[in-house]
Amino acid sequence: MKTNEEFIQGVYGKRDALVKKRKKRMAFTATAVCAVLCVAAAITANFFDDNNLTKFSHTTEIEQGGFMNQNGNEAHSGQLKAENKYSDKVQSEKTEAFTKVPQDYSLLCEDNALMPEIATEIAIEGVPEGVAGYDGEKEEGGAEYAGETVTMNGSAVIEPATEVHKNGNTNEVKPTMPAPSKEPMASTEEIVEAAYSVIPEEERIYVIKDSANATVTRYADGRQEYEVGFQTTQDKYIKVKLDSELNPIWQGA
Amino acid sequence: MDNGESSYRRFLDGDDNAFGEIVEIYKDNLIFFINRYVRNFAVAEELAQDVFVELLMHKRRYNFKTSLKTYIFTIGRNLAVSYIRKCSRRPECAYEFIENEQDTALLEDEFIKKEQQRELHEALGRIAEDYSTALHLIYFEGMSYEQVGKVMKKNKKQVENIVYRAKKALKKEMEKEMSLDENE
Repeated sequence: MKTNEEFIQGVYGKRDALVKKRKKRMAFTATAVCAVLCVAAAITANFFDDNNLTKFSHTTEIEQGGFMNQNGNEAHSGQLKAENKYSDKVQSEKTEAFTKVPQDYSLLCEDNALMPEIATEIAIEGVPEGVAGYDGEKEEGGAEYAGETVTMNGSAVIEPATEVHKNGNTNEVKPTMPAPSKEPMASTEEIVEAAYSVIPEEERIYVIKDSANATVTRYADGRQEYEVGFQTTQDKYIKVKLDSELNPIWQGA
Repeated sequence: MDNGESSYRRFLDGDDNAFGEIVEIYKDNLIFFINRYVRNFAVAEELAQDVFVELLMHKRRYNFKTSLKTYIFTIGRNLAVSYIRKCSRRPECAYEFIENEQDTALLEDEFIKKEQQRELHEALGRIAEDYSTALHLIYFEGMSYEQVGKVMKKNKKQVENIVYRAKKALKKEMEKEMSLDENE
């Protein structure tokens, strides 16, 4: 049997153990609550990120040349969730979109109410600096079309914009077309081969294939035409005209 | 004698010695009372300590509307009943102690001086738990029917009935004991 002192000591000891246990439980509860709050915050942040992606997917449509992609939103949102670098991604996608604009220019002019606006914006703003394949300083290409009012399939007219200088003066800025690519879209061999195949078989036997002389014609809208001339053994010169897709436009002597 | 209420007031004011006084007043009676439920002295002692821990942890819970004795014995009974319930659910109990015969004898010696009282105590152990608790609180602790009712969570009328039946059952047990002694 315990003495009074031992008994009281035991009581205090039990009390201390109980208090310690409660503190431990409180700390555990606090940790659990913190963890739950962190998870909730992360979920909320993801939710807002998803909402912002609507804007991003719109940019993606421009990149794709105006073709509306219904599944684009889902695909890209999934991609972005993984990377979680929304703003960087949007910036890079925009740059990519502008890079592709000269080639896909005609697609922007289709009967889509949104497209002429975008085309105008691109024409006025030009391709951003630092984009590969375009040098804003060079006159060739871009300069060729400067000062002209460009009509695209009759659906949109680019009006001259007004530029405000630092000193307050305003200048009328003529919109300029982006420079068409100087390189042919197809290789010389491909062009010659395509042109050769256009020639009828009865004439082809007289054609000296090695004498082929190809000329590339570039148009403002980025289109290219190829003209290939062949010498024949019958003192005849055969010309074949091909479009960008290497389809025959015209063939004759 | 205020049954420790004044000590409790001092304890509330931060006097640690007052708590010692309360323990001194109620410790033995409480252990003896709890032992009636758990029938193990060491367990009863641990549970009695738990009663005082409860007092320390929740100082302000006692509102002086009942006597401190009633309050302490109520906690003691509740703890004993939960202990028994816990033990009935699990084979291994919260407190595992080997019964110390010497301790039990010491405590019983203090309370049951005479042989007749010892027989009475043994007979009390054989009757129903409610009966023995009611009789213990009334005859060993000197509590009123109302106080017993508060400890046992019964009304006065119920306590009266329990005490009446308990006395009858105890008488029967005592007669049985005496007839056994005569046969020997």
